Amino acid sequence: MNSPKLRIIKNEDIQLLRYWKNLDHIRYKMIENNLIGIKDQRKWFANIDENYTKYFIYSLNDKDVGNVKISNIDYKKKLFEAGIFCGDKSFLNHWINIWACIEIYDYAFNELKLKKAHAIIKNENTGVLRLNKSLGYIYKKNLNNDLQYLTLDKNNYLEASVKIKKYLNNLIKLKNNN
Amino acid sequence: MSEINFKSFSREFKKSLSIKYEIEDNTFLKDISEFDSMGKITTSVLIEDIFKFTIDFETLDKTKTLAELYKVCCERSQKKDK
Repeated sequence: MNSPKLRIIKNEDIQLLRYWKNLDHIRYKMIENNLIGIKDQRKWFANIDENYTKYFIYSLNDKDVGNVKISNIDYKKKLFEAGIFCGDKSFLNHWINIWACIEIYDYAFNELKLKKAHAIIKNENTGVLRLNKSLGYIYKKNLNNDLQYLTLDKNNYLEASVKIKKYLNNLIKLKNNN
Repeated sequence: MSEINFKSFSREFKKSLSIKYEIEDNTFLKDISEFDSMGKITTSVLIEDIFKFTIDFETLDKTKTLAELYKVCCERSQKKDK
């Protein structure tokens, strides 16, 4: 059974998240990239306001793969930020990462009724820039030599994600039938 | 079966992945940075549009070059039509 899942992070997940965030393939693509200690991670988790930030772990066939989040939710302006990283390197370039993105954006736009996402991304993070473009993000401006600012409207996302969703649904069906 | 030739397939592949540089027939797909998780899904959608079948991720992972991918698609498309 090919079963992708998303679960909201709990206290027992936070050290796995810390382990992932400290891995070189993730850390150096983050804007804040200091190594995180065990206590720092506990403090970070204790300070999360679940109304405004939601962290999830995504998994495939009960194997944890990575993290997706929506953060800085502004319910008045209907605005949010989203992020993803694939913790398990053996799943880099796997469809599960895109499935997780789609789940989180659908959740933000359809369930939380938000209207717009925005993102600040390192220029060197070409994989995420390509991913965001495919999801309908539009480049707005450079913030400095290293960072660019992009936005995503709900309508652009819905249009851009139609074929991606169709393919993922077919793929999961195909796998579960085999 | 689709009548698309390799040259057109290669052109569509590059266009859909926004690849600006040249790709040789024998370039390894794993060496094309645009052929990441989103790139593979984009390629899958392209294949579905052209060849009218859903390609699985394992095939995309196993296939070494664009020429080989084209061959796989033509064969699968022919089988489907029989």
